[in-house]
Amino acid sequence: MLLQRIAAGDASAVALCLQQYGNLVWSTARRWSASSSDAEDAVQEIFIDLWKCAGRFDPEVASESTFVMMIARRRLIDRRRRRQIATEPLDDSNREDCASGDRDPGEFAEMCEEAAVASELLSELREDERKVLELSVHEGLSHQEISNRVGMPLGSVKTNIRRGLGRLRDRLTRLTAGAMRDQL
Amino acid sequence: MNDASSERRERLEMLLADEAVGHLSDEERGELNGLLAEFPDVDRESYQRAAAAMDLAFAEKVMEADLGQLPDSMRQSILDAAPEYLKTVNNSKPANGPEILTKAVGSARLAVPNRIPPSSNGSAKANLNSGESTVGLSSSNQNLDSDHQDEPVGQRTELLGDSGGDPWKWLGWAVATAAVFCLLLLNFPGLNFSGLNFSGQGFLGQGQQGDDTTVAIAGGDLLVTEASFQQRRSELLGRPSTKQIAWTPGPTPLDAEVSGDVVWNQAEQAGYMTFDGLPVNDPSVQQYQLWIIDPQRDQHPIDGGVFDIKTDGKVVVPIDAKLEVLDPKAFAITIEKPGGVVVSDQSQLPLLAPVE
Repeated sequence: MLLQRIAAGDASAVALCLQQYGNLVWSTARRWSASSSDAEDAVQEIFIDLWKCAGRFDPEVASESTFVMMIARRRLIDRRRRRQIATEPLDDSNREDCASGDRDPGEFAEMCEEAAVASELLSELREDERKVLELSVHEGLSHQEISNRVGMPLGSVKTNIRRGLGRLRDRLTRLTAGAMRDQL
Repeated sequence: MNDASSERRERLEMLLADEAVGHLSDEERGELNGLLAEFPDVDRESYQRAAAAMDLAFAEKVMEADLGQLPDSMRQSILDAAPEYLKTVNNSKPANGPEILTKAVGSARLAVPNRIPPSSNGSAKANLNSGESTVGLSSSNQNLDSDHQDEPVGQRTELLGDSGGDPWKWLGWAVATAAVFCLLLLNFPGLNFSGLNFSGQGFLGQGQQGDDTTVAIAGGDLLVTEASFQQRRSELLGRPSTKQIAWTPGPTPLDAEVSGDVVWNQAEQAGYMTFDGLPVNDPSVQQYQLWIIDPQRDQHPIDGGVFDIKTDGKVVVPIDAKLEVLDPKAFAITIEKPGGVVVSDQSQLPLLAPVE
């Protein structure tokens, strides 16, 4: 595991980690940032966080890519909260690409086991439910922005997001518990 | 689990989901911290992992479309900077302490107007009867019948900005009171308590009711058992890596004698503050605010949230580490306006716990 090597001080793992996750972090930062320069700052901070937090990575709890994404999202949420800026796309085409609602969630299952579980769950949802989660989780829109965009009552937006994440959380918990049982 | 407890547990789950997508208000953040203290078995990161996994699922298509190529210049910049932080990871403390710490903290400044004269006996003193000094918070604390009690407190917020001020007043004081903290300041001539986006809403106020302690959390009262507080703090103290740091008078000690400590376990990212003699505050006038100085975590001190002291005697205030604390160098208490501040002028900094 790259993060475990980094935690042990193996500098050679840094380049590999960047190769593995650099594009993922960059594209995520772009979605959440108001400008390119803001995204660049965010990416720098995310990787510093990652180097510092590498020792906390536990492969029994989550895959490496999920951990990286969690650290990235945490930093991006923190930056947005601190700056109180509205997340705007870098340009309309980027937003359109990221928000395309006609994807087949089944295509997305290769990155890690947790993402596969998430894809499976998303495929079970109605289109509007999946869209709400995409706009919230993937694009970082506020509840109100989502409500305005999809024409869904604010309360329903919140409920859909909470319920969707809750269901996935439960499935991931079972996944982890099952993996641990298998090791016994 | 009774109905009320079930409802609070359900509310906790809702707030965790909102936190995972970054849509918690300051008030909700305080409420979340209080509920987490009530339900210590809950894995706070479970929803964040779920959101990360779901984001990965959505992101896969974007990556395939080649929409997210990290620029080569950025890749190189990150590579160039990495060894510095790897050294930090390796050694837990920077190999070249001052150099790395200086880099980590950048140009911070600490100024202490020192409105309240230091006490002569070395204990923290308080005079909170005047309007300016009266402390009144809404945080998490509870009476302590013994040294082993605890309860939930506030959240932390990273701080930004620069309140200005004269760093050398603070530095001079720090040299005299805390060697470690002094070292920090020497290396961070610009260190200041500042912040942006205040969110450190206090969390709990306490009142004794028989065997239970009523804890007011941002809009509603919770019933938290004393025994659970005692147990959690005692358990933490029993672990080998737990640090126990006594409060020392800050640059503006209170008139009242204050003792107590900070108990912090780095691995568990959990801790408690205890106070004996910290004056009751009027939350409508002033509140206590915790700050965590952690140069490895970030270049800015961390807002630990505001809290209230509602009764005389010993109280315990849990520290809820929402963000990871990497290597705390000191914990500091300031007195601020209701709701706390994002940028503290340190005009009232009565207590400090420098980590050895």
